[in-house]
This record gives sequence, C-alpha cells and structure tokens, in this order.
Amino acid sequence: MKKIIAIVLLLTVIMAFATACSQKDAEYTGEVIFSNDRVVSLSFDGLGVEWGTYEDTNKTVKGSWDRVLTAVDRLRPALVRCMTNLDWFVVNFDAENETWGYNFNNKQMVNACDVLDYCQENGVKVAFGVWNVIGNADAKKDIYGMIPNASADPRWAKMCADLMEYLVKVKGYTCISWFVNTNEPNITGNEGSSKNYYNTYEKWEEGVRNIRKEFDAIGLKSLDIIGGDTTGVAGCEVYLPKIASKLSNVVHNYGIHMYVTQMAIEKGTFKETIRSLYNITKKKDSDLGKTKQMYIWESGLLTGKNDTTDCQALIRNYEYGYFMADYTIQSILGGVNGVVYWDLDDAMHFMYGATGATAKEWGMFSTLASASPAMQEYRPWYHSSVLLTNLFRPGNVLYDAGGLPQGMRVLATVSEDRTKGGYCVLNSTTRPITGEFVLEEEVKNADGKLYIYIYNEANLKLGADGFVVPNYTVDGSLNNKTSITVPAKSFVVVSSERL
Amino acid sequence: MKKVLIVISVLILALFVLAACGTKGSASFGSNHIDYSVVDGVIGDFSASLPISEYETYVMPKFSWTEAANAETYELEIASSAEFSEEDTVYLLKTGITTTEYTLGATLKKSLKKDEEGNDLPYYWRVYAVNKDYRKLFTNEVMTFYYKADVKDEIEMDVIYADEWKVHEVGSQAEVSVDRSDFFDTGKDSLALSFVSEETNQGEGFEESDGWIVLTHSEEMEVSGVDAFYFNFYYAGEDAEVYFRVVDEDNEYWHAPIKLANNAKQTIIIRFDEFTLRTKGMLNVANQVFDYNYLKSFELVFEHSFGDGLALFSDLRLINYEKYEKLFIKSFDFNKYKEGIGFENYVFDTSVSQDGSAFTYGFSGVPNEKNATKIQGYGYVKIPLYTEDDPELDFKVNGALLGAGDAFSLKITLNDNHLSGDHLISIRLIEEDTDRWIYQQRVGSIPASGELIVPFSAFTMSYFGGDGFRQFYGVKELQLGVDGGVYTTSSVTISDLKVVSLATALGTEEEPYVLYQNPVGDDGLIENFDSYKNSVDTYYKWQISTTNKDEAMGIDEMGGIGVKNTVGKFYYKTNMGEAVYTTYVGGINKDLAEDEKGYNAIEILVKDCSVTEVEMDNGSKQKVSVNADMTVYITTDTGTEYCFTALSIPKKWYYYRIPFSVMELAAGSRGLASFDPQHIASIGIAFSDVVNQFTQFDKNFVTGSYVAVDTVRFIYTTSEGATRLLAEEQIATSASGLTVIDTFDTLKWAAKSGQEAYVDPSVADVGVAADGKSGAFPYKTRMSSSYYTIFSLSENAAATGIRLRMKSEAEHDYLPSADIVLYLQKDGKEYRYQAKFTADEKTASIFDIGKEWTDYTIGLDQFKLDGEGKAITVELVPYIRQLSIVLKDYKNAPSDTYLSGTVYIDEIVLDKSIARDANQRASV
Repeated sequence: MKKIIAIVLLLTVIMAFATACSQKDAEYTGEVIFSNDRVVSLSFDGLGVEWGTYEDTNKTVKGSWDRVLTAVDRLRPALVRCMTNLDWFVVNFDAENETWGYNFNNKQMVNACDVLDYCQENGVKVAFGVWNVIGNADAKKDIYGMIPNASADPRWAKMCADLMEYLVKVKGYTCISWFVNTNEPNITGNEGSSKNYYNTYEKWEEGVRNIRKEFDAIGLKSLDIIGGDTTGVAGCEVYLPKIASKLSNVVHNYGIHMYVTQMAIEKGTFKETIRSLYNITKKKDSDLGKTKQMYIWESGLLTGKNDTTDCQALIRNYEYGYFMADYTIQSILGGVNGVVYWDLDDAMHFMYGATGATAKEWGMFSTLASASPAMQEYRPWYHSSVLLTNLFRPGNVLYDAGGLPQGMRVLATVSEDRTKGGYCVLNSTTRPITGEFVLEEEVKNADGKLYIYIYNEANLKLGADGFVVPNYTVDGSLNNKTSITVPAKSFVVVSSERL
Repeated sequence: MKKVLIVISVLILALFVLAACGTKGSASFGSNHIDYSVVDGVIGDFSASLPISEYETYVMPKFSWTEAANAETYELEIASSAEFSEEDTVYLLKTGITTTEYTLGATLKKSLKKDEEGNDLPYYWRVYAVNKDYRKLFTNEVMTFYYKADVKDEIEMDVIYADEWKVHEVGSQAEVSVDRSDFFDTGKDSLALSFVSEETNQGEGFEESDGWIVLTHSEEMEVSGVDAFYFNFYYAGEDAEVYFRVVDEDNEYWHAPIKLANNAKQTIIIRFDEFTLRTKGMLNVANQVFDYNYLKSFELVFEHSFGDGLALFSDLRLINYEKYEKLFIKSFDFNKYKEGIGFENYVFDTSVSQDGSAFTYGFSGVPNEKNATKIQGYGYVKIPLYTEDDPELDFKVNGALLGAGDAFSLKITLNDNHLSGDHLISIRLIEEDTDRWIYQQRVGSIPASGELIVPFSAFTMSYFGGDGFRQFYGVKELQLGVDGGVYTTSSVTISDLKVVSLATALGTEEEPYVLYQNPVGDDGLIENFDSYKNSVDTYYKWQISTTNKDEAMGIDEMGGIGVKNTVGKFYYKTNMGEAVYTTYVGGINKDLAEDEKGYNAIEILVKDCSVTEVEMDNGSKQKVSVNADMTVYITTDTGTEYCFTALSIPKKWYYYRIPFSVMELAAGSRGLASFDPQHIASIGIAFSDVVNQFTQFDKNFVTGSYVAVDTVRFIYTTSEGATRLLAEEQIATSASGLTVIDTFDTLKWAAKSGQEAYVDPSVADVGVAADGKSGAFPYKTRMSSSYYTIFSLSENAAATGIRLRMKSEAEHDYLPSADIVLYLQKDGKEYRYQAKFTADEKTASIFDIGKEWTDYTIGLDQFKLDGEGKAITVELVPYIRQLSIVLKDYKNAPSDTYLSGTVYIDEIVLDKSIARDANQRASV
C-alpha cells in the first residue's frame, strides 16, 4: 500500500510539474503553433497611417495626388489620422463681440476633403483633429486672445463643434470616428513660441468636456474624442490614469503617440512599456480592452530623428521597415488594438522658417517635386507596411504563439469569416531561425495558395509596377505546418491571400 | 488493484501532459511542401529593349529588357551621368525587380540640365541581372534617353484660393482674400492683400519686421519656352516698395521690383533677366545663377510699407516675352498720336515728319489763344499715348508701356534758333496715376550732334498726383515744351525718340557700356565730376535708389574744390528713407591696398545745400533748418555691406575722412566685422534727413534739397576715428612769398574728436591785427587739446618756415606748450610732419607760450616726417593740406589738478623768408 501511495504521490508531483510547465512557454522545438488559446485580440481595429492635408499642395509634382491614391489603395489603411488648424478656417474674428465666421471654401478644406472623400468611400475610420489652439503664440501678434485659456476657452469648443458639424453633418463624412483635441497636449513648449504653453491637463480636460457638450448639442453623439493623443511614456503615464479616472464616461479611445529607440525595439522592452501603460489605464478603467481600446495614433522610431529638421534619417533604409514591423507586433502584444504609422508622404508637413518651408521627411514616399527621384520612390518601409496593413485587417482575430526562441516575435491573424489569415514571423537575432509554423484556427482560403513574403534588403521583391510581390507562391494551407527560415534581422509574412 | 491504480495514474499523467502541451497535438497538423530552392548558375546575356538609346520622350518611359537566363531579379539604375554615381544630380537604384520591365513611381525632371549650347543633357540607364552567385550587366554599352520638357508659350496661374498664398509669420501681418469682382476687367479673380498701419508701423521692438510683408505661393513647376512674368497689379495706399520674388531650383531668392503706380491698374511684365539675386539676410545662396527652368515659389514682397495699403494681384502668367513685346513702345511714331494732341499754356505750331519719327513744335513769341496776355515761355504740346488692343493678346493695357528699356535716345534740333543757352527743352511724361515727370535739357548744353541719351532716372517729379514712384508703366501722355524764358521765334524738332537700354545705347549691342563704374585711380580718386559735360552724364556713373521716388543728380559749378571746380549734386528729400547713390569701384589696387600706407579710409568732400525755406500750402514761405545726414556704404564683392553715418552735414565744405576700421556691418547684412579693401566692390553715398520729421512744418517732406559732393577718394590716414575737417577755398600766395593760412576772421578750425579735452575753438575779439580778432583755443593742463584746419594751397605756394602769432591766457601762472603738425596730401596719401626740438631748442620754441603776443617762427627743417624722417622741402609746400596744433601742459602745471586756460592765435603765415632751421620767438 505504501508503494501505491508513493507512486500516487510521485505522479502528483509529476502532474504538478507538468501543470506548472504548461503555464510557461515550452522549449522551442522548431514548431510554432498559433493556438486558439493564445488570442491577443478578438477584434483587431487595424493599422493605419497619418494622412495630412498637404499644407503646401503645390509643392507636389503634377500627378502627385493620383500617385498618393494609388499608394493608399495598395496600403489599405484601416485607420487614418488627419489634422488641421482652426486658423485655416476661422475668419472675421471679433474678440470684443465674440463673433466670427468660417471660410471652408479654401485650399486647406479642399485638401482635407480629398482625404476624407477617400476614407468615406473606402470605409477607413478617421481621427480628425486640430493641431493647436488657435492664435499666435506671440501675444503681440495674437488677435484671438484664446491661447492663455487654451482649449478650455468655450469659444474653442464652439469652433471645434462647428468644424465637425460642417464635416460630418454638412459634408457627410461619417468616416470620422474620433476628434483630436490638440496634438500632444502634454508637450507645452516654451512661452511665446508654443501655442500649447498654457494648455495644462486641467484646461485640456475642460476642453474635452466642453467639446463633448457641444458635440452632443448638435447631434454628434457618436463622434468620440481621443483621450490624450499624448506623446512619450512620461506624458502618457500622467495623462492616461487621469483620463481614465476623470473622463472615462467621455473618452472611449485612449490614444498615445510613441516614438521609441531602436534599442527598445531590439531588446523587446517596448512591449513591456506598452503593457505598463495599458495596465495603469486599465487599473482606472476596467472597460479598457472591452468597450474601449488603446491606440497608438503616431508611431515611429526615435533613433534617426533630427530634432532640428524634424526628419527621420532612417526612412530610406530597409531596417526602418523591419523595426516598424517589430514595433507593430510588440505594441499589439502589449495591448494596443490599433496602430497608425507616422506618416504617409513627405509632402504633407513642413517646417516653416526664415528661409522658407522645408519638408518633414518621415514618409513612406515623397510626392514633393523638389525631392530627388530616389526620395520620391516608394521606400522599403512602405512595402513592409503594405504587408502588415493588408495582413492585419480590422475585425480580425490576432494570435500569439508560445515556445518561441529568443529574438523571435510572431503574430498571426484570421479574418472574421475565417476565409483569410496569415502570420508574421520576425527574427531580431543576427542568425537565421528556422521553424515550422501553423495556425490552429481553421482558415478556408478559397484558392488553396499561400503567399510568402520575405522582408529584408536582399529578398524584397518588386513587380513591374514597383509594388511588393511574394517571394514564393505555393499550394498549401495555413493549417498545415509550413517550414520557414527567417533570415537575420528580417521578417516573413505568410498569407492566404496576395497582399 | 495495483494495476488499476497504475493505469489511472498513467491516464491522469497523459491528460496533464496533453493539457500542458496545448489543445491540439502537433502531430495532427499536415505539412505544406515548399520548394525553397534558389536560382543560381551563370547568368545569360540579355539586353535593353526600351527606351532605345537617344530616345526623346515627353512622357515617362517604361523601362524594359530581355530576359536573362538564370536571373532571379533585376536591378535598374538611372542616373544623370554615365558614371552612375550616387553623387550624380540624379541617381536611382531599384533592386529586387522580378519582371523584365519596370515603371518608376518617381517623376524625373524634364530637360534635366543643358549643355553650354543650351541642348538638353540625357539620362542614362542600365540593368543588371542578379542571382544568388552572379550579377551581370546587360550587353548594351550605355543607354540614354532625353526626357523633354513641354515647351509652352504661356503658363497661366489663376488665383483660386486665398490660403494658397501665405503671409510670412516674420514681418508685418496682412489680410489675404480673393476678390471675385473681376476688378481688372479680365474675367479673372484677383488676390487681395490689405494691411493697416497698426501692423506695418509698430515702431520700436519691431525694427526687423516693420513694414515688411511677404506673401508666398508655393508651386513647383518646370519652366520651358517662356522668359517673362506677366500680371495685373493694383496698389492703393501709403508709400511702399514692392518686389516680385521667386525661388529657383537651388533655393535662391530672385527678385525684381514692381514699378508701382498708386491707385492705377497696372499691367506688369518682368523679364527673367531683370531678376537679381536677393542676398541680403539670406542663407540660400548657391550657384548665383537664376535657374528659372524650375521654380518653386512665387512671392509678393512689400518693403518699407509703413502705412495702410491695399494691393490686388491677378492673372499671373509665365509668358514668351517676344509675343508681348509689341505692347511696349520702342520707337515713337508721332503719326500714330498726332490726332489727339493738345496744348498747355501756349499753342504751338506742330508738324510731324512723313515717317512719323520727328515732331516739330514752333513758337513765335506772339500771344495766342492759350497765352493771350503774356509770352513768358513755359508751354507744352500734349501728346496722348495709348496701346491699341491686340486681338492676339487677350487683355487690356492702360496707357503705353515703356518698360522695354531704361532710357530715351533722341535728337534735339533747334531750327531758326533764337533761344538762349539757359532755355530748357522740356520733356514730360504723365503716368496713369497722374504723376508727372520731367527732364529739362539746357539749350547751351545740347551737344553739337543734338543726340542725347536720357536715362529714365534723370526724370524728376514735377507733379505729385499718384504714388510719386517713377515707373513709366501705363504712361498716358508725352509732353514736349520749352521753358526758362520769353519765347522768341524758333522751333524745336524732337526726332528718333526711342526707348532704349542705357547700357546698350552708350555702348554697342555686342559690348554694352558698363554702367555705374568709377574705377579707383592710382591716386585713390574715385570721383571728382570734372569730366562731366552734362548733368545727364552723372546717371551713367551712379546708380540711383528709388526710396525717395525722384532721386536725381546733376552737376554744377559752385566754387567747389577741384581742378575744374565741378561738383556733383545729390538730391534727397527730408522725412524719407535714404536717397542712395552707388558707384562700382572694382576694388583697390592690390599693391596699394597692401602698401605699408595703403588706403585705409574713404574721404568725401561735401557741403550741404539743403533748402532753407519752404513754401507752405497757403503760399507763405517758412524758414526751415534742414541738414542732410550722410551714410557711406561700402559693399564687398561678396555682397557684405558696411556703413558709417555722419549726422547733419554742415553748409560748408567739409572733408569727411572715414577709416575703414570704423565702418560697421550694415543692418541686415551678414559677414565679417571688417573687410579687406581689395574686395571693395561698390561705394554708396546716402543722404536723408529724418530729424526734422514733421517737427518744423506741416508738410510730409521737403523737396529740392541736395548735397554737393566734390571728390570721393580712398586715402591713407593715421586717424583712428572718423574726422570731419573743414575745407575752404584755395589760399593764394602773395608775390612776396607770404601765404596767410589764417587770420581768424572766421572760424575754420575744429577740435579733433577723441582727444582728452575736446572743446570747440571759437573766434574771439582779442588780437593785435587790425580786425582785432583771433582764434581762441581752450586747453587744460595735464591734457592734450588738439585742433586742426584744412586748406589747400596754390601750385606756386612756397615757404621755408611758418610763423604763428600767439599768446596764452589763464588764471594761473603755468604756461602751455604746443605741438605743431603739418599734414601733406600727395597722390591720395597723407603724410604727417611734426616739429621736434631738442631739449636746448625748447627754450626758443613754442614751449611755454607766454601771456604776451609773441611771434613763434619755425623753419620747415624742423618738421620731420612722422617726427623723425625727412623734412618738408619747398617743393612739397603746395601739398600742405592741414595744420594741427596740440596744446598741453604736462611740464609746468601741478599733477594733482586740471587747470583751464586759452591760447589765442592771431595769425598763421607761411613765409619763404624764414630760415629753414629757424626756431625762435619774438615779441610783437
């Protein structure tokens, strides 16, 4: 009997050990299974891009807009952030009598409408907003007098509501899902040069409440306001818990901007950063992840940024696309449900100085006439973004996988109707990694083909039209194991449809 | 039981293992069989297909090539040189192409660059086939294609939205809107820009931005086949200068002035070759060539707009000038205008030559219907000018455009002449905005040939009806007349009246005259006006600003100091910006600049001749005190501008000696704090008087004032600071050899600034001479008080010594001493000779100036170059230009206090009877 008891005890210990093992990643065996119990998001909101209003449209080349539309068609963003300035539209401002009018018949509005037309026609969800509080940071030149009270000024809320009423109700742009009440309000800047200098959290919050009231009053109840649009970890750590505590009944989208170092991405710590922000928000608002989501509305690398010119030196390199793919995977694994890339086209935003306007080069390409042909061409990270935005579609279920080797990050996806899917495997190490990858969730892809794309400088393939084409097109199923070797510092996308 | 327990245990274990390993066993998944083999092996030959080499295309070509065996991908390179270097102007590499054709997403520039003969240069392209082990170039040697620009007759840029034009944040702010009222009657909308004085005249603290408005429209475009801008412009408001500015391919700013007419609808045409590089305050200076083949921005720039203003701008086009050239009057055909002529003050007998090139107006001095009671002559024939509508050009022009040149050439013939030499042949132009401009030619100065070249800039304002700017756009009337005296029977023929380029008219088509040049002579002389025969000649040598709107020059004989006593007259207005006159000197000779005593200063001999009385609106006369301030500008060949300002030029001839070392960077100019004289490119002399602004009388400005300038030259000076030296008429030498430098009837002396005791001297009623006057020179013990006088001596001046009659006066017993210094000026250089004495000699010299009148006599042998070199010889005496006396008392007075005193000088004489080695004193 003692032996029996000993055997049972031994088995219990073994079982306990096995149970413990089952709660940690298994040792990498060369197999990566995207199993149904590793769901990251049950309904992903998609990836997107900042699509500006082309402040100086005429700096683009003839035919630029057609090229932009072609590029966006292929990119298929699910989300677009588009920002304007109220200074562009407010006219005849009379501070004494508190009256003003609007001129929406101008180039800026035409440009904004061009973007919104596309989004409306293609089901793209838009965050539309205003960069800064209206006026001139130099008080001597300011005619509005609203900067000291910042976005808490009731006139500001009225102006924002009037703008959105025009766009949503008059122009019919129901694609606008969110309103952005000033860009990165946590960056207050210097007095006299920053329009945001007086825009404290309290004033920003009051502004959001005022705008909400104005929206409700004119029947824009479904138009949400982004909670924060703050940038940097420190700023988000301040704003997100406050917003979650004080504005949880007003804000339904926790929006952040994240520009991170190459090192944070390489080491995988970015995921933990996002997770931490997610958790401190979730702690105050349990609806996060349920009825509310966190998005990154501006995303990019800090490494390579020139603060003086506000240009990104790495955008022409293949590695930028690789890092942004890693960024995307880590941020989603960290808890965000939508990522918007900064940005689409160099021709959208400019630095204005004494010697004229210089383009902020952050784009996936450039339609600037002054740009060299090499700068105009689609950059590698446009192609990498095309792969990701087309693979991780809104409404899809996203899956993680366990048992990964050091330096490998993965993310799989299956469409709502289970007819499409795929996965992305990223190798951040300096040596190739081979594995067998398989999706547990059944995907019934009609043509029985798999399209395999390898993203790195040596392997990215382009078609005659300059767009990315698969390295391999094979007969197969996502539900069968697929052996893949991911080269060093590269990622591979396997998709059931041509991206 | 044991077995049962064991089976149960195994089952439980299996379940847990299954749970630990996932919900589905990996063994249950099938496998995809993928062939990852790569293409390898030697790559086969392949070749380019399209575009074929030397291909010319107006649309972006698709690149194609034949398939290469064993190629996995292809690489396409496109470059602006056959080197295919990343350093090329254009270099593009596309890798990973999986097909045998490729279409670029990028847009290449058309007509990329041109060779020296103006031919387009090609693009080069090539393809490599690549696989795992190999990379192989196509078999073609080199492929080229020409991406040709569409040559256009005209490029229209309509105004559509106001916010396509942005007002620069730096500068005064303005409202921009679109006027859709068809203001110019062209069917086009106009851009309206309005500003108010609250914005444009904010005063202190806004110096850099006040009155400066920049409106920018960004539109990048390739430009081919056109060579000028055309637009409609209207301005109503207070004074402003307006420029049309563009940014070229390499980001340089090029601008051209809009010749503004106030409250008049203008048609402006500016040729590309009229644009100049804007360098002041600009960082973007690249190749200094107007690369108009590619333009990036179009701007309206308002400067010095210190009041309210409204501008409308419309119908901007890039045009082919040749097509529009017909709008400009090149040669006056009087037959075209003779039907509408009228008269002012006198009805002339007029006739036009058969070919229309000559217009004659005659007069008899007999009263007529326009001049019934008097025959004092100031009549005019009024000839209307207009431009006929041209069906080929779909727009209207107001008046006639004279903009195709910058001068008139004409011939004046006096028939049966009874006019005096002081009569004036007058030509007047009435602009669309009713401003009236006049040029008057003295009959006595008409050259024998009768031919004259009269720059537009020589026309001065005779009626201020519009904005006061001489623009000669939309000129609606030409008036010809005679002024200056009673008419006698004569007639004047104006013939071959043409609008010409001044540079071409003075030179030749192949070798145009180089305007505004005054090369520096070996003696440092830049200008003395002695070679001028006619006032109009000055306009060929000096470039005139437009700040005062009717800046003008002339020459006059007015007793100036010079070989021919000819001086230049530089007109300016009070209460306006500077009237700037610039001449290009082309640098100082290297040897002279590097010489130990090379030129280190500029000397200008000037005299203020501003008006002393103005006529008020009610006709009354009012005395005024107006004196010009003078700013001297030196601009280097790199465009850096330095300046020095002398306030309130006196109404006497003064030498202003300005060492280069005291000149400072002009406002808005960038560069080093000092400059190398070798790199001096131009000299600018500016006059203005803003001190009297609105303080003396209720008039906006005073006209008619000028400053006389006799000489402008580079000199060497020992002075460290700028000095102002009184200069007077030449001092004669008597037959007996006496040259009286000064008897102090009037004061010709000044104190040297920067000295320890700087007190102006004066004329005192103390003296032994008949006039009873002497010069009173204050001094203090233990200080130096330096005084000087400037003069010029006749060529026959001769002396062997100098005699000064002096005495001192003080409430103390200490006696001062004096250093006597003579400055000579020869060949543009200054030499300093100081009398030096040994200890023994001091007792007999001008040490211890006594309290009684004493003659102090010093032979010229005592005056040594720089106090120790060679003495002044008799031959050098005519070159003596300055006498300086330095009073001091360090020797006698106590060291713990400063005691005042005065030295009186009754007379200073150069005398050739003095022994050269004299050093003595004698009581008077």
